[in-house]
Amino acid sequence: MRGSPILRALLAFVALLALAPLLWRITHPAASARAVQQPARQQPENAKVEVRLLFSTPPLRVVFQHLGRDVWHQLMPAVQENFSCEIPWPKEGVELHVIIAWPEGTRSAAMRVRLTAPDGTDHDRTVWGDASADDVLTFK
Amino acid sequence: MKLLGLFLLLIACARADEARLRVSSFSTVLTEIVREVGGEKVDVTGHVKPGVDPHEFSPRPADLEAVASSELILVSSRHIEGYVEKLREAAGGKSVLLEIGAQLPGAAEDPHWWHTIGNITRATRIVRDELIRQRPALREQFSANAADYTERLEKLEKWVKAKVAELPRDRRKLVTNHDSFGGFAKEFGFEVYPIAGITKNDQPGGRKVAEIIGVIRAQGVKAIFSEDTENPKVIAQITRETGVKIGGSLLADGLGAKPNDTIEAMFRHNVTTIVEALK
Repeated sequence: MRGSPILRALLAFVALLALAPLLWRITHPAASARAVQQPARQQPENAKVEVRLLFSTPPLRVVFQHLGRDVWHQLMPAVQENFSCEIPWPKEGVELHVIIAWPEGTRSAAMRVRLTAPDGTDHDRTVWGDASADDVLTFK
Repeated sequence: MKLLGLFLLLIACARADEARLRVSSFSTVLTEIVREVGGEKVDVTGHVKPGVDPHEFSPRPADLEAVASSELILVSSRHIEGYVEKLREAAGGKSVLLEIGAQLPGAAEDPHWWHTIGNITRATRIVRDELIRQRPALREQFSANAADYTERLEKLEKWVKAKVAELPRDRRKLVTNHDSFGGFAKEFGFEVYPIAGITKNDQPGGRKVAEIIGVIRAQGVKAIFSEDTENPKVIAQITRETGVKIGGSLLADGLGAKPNDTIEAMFRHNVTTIVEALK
């Protein structure tokens, strides 16, 4: 082969440079697949949940939260209250954060929660407290 | 007369000092618990400092000297403190060695028992009972301190529950560096996918990493969690291949450096990091 050694080295370098992307793909098979985006999460749709409450002592205030947001709250509720809300209900279940304030000095007060899930399943829970309660109820 | 008064004062001081129980603790979590329960009546040496990896800690001659003069030695679990026999030898049968993890539910499967408030409360009771056994005259004081501390733990537990409730149950997939959140996961309905095993010596092979990548893709996991400098290459490979983000660094092996050097701060840091990253 003729030509100056510098020119030959330059040609070899250019050839290697051209092959570089191919070599990279061969030696890093996983990296070529990384452009594949994560599948979009299937968000469960909102579904209707029915809740029936029964208090041993009428509280001053009740709050029900789902994922950090109020879904129902009531000042001075009656002994029995009903409400419904629409929330996502994944197969792993749902948690409701309940905050209750009873009159000062109240001892061993209770709130019974009967909940009908979107699939018609009934759940029954009781929250106890002295003057107040702050609890997370799991339904699944 | 003055001299007599001074003499009596010196005796009183010496007796008060005698009453202080000398404790050596090899767990940052237990150091906090015994200080809370014992108050001024215990003299605690925390050999493992917050922020130090207990898997990497090994007692030095000065630690063993302190153990030899202690009345109570606290360790969390022989799976974490693999040098328990060395401590026993140093103690020479003169002091009580309490392996708290051995008395807690679930700690046999996952020795990182301090990730549930329930276990912290149980550990507090065990420590309280041992302090009372060694200093029966101080029963009331130790019981009152333990009750105050337990009340604070109950408040913390309420916060933890409410914070975790902000995260939908179908997003509770915890990919962590090593297998240390089993108890936490069980309590709050998380599925855990550890990259390494229980101890940091169980490093992942290619098949394990591929498995984790598969889980992240199939479950749509939003974030994975690191622990300081562990497995940076593996973490980088997983994030590169899945596009998942690093949700933050968790305090898996005990209390962290300031400001995460208390049990409350550890819980607030871990729970906030997990919930905010997976939301």
